[in-house]
Amino acid sequence: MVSHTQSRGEGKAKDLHMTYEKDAEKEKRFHLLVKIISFLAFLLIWHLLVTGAESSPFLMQYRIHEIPAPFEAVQALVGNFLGRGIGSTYERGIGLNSLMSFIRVLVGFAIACVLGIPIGLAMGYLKYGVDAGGTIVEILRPIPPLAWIPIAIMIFRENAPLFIVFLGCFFPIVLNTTAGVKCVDMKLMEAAKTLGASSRHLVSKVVMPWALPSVVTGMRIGLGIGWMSVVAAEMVGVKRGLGIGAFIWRVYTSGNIDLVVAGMIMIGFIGWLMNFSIEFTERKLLKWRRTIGG
Amino acid sequence: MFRLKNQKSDDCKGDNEVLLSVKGLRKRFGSLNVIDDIDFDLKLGELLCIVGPSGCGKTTILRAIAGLEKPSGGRICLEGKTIEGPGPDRGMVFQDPALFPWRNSLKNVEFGLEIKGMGREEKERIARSSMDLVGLEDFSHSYPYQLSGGMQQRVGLARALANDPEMLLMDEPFGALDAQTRNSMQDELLRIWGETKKTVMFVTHSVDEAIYLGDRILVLSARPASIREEIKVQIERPRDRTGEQFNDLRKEVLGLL
Repeated sequence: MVSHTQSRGEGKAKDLHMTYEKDAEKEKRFHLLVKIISFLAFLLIWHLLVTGAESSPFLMQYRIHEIPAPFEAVQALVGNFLGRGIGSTYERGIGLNSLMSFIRVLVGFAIACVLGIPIGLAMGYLKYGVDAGGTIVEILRPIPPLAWIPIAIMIFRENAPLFIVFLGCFFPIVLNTTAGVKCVDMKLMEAAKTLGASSRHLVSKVVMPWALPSVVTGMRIGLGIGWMSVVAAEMVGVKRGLGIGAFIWRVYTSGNIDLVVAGMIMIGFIGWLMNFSIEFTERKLLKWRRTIGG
Repeated sequence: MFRLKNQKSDDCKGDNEVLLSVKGLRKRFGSLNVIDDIDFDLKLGELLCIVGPSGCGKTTILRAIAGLEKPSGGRICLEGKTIEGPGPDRGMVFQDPALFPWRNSLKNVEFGLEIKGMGREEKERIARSSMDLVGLEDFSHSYPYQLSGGMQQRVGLARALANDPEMLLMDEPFGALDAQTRNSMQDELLRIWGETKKTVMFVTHSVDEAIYLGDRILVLSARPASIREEIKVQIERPRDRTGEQFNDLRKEVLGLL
């Protein structure tokens, strides 16, 4: 009798478990479905808007009909990725141009990390750190990176976009590092001291790991701003050289709106990829954190 | 200045049996007088409990011995040397276990050894034996958030023990645990104390805990803390929490608080 009830109970639990699993599976599929549908709807609206514009004098007055439909834009992207079929003699493909921008962002971002993280640590950890650096940072930070373009071109010439990217990345990294260090748990500092930690150890083994999530957040914000600034900086600063921003400006002045939109799609795609990879690294690096996301 | 320091440490010299000696300890936080002239000795291998009304400054005494608070007056000497700051010769176990959340249990226990610059194999061997000692050998790779409160506290104890300190300072380590876990942790502590023969100073607000654990109990007054009574617990271990002697002592200590 007892064993009977037990096995029945077990069976029930198993059923219940399977139901949960099924529900989770269903939910997962539904998430994907919503994603796909909303994206398709977005493309459809875009398509209808630009194709419909051809029969609407009102929209034509704003040249909406010159914007390529999604399919045309992707076609232009694929067709010109390696640089075939572009009119002007010096023009290269979207691939090489965006690669150049990507490298600029990576280099500017790397320099910003190398300088910004130690400065943020010092500002957060040293007793007079914020007094020394806080005001300067707070005054420089509200100046948009793009406002620096003239000065940057003057000093750095063709490397101006690199400097602009650096500026865009630098401040979020400094500020988030400082904030992360400032909130370090004093209990952990004390525990480390009773275990024999010197101040060098305190920084490397308590303060830095503690601040890491905040530093990574700063890096992510910085990388986003850097990627946005590089495009604008290249439009103004590079003109004839490589760079997706410069490319977009050139094809615009030669009247090829298909390629303008193709370049924009590329920018969006790379930005999305960068954010994805930093999120992925974050999850790997900070798996000790218990978060809502699990 | 330098001579004064030397003289201080000379003053520390005393009995060989005495590991730690606290002389005329005072502590003020601004205008708040927290500790008022406390003297006591701790013998080698002894388990001393400190009880007192909450907020009386028990923890401050312990933190002063740990080197985390600078005394406003008096001296604390460990093995004839004045304590100048925190050090690995005094292992501390905190109420909030203060584990490093980014390190798994084993890596938490290795922390002090890592700081000593110990080689990887030796470090792991010692850390593992320390984990064995607290009965957590199967949880080496768990992160703090994956452990229960009692288990976290064991990791904290293992971490302090791995450094092989002269003494253990325990600041209400079981205060946040449920009653049953607390009782079993007390037995665990007595077992570990028996095996390692460490000198232990244990701060608690629980009279029962003090009587169950201590060789000796210091009962403190309300703030500013001074020693109201020193009680030798002469009940044989394992102690019966409901025994007559235990109850009598409980009545006596509660009467003092």
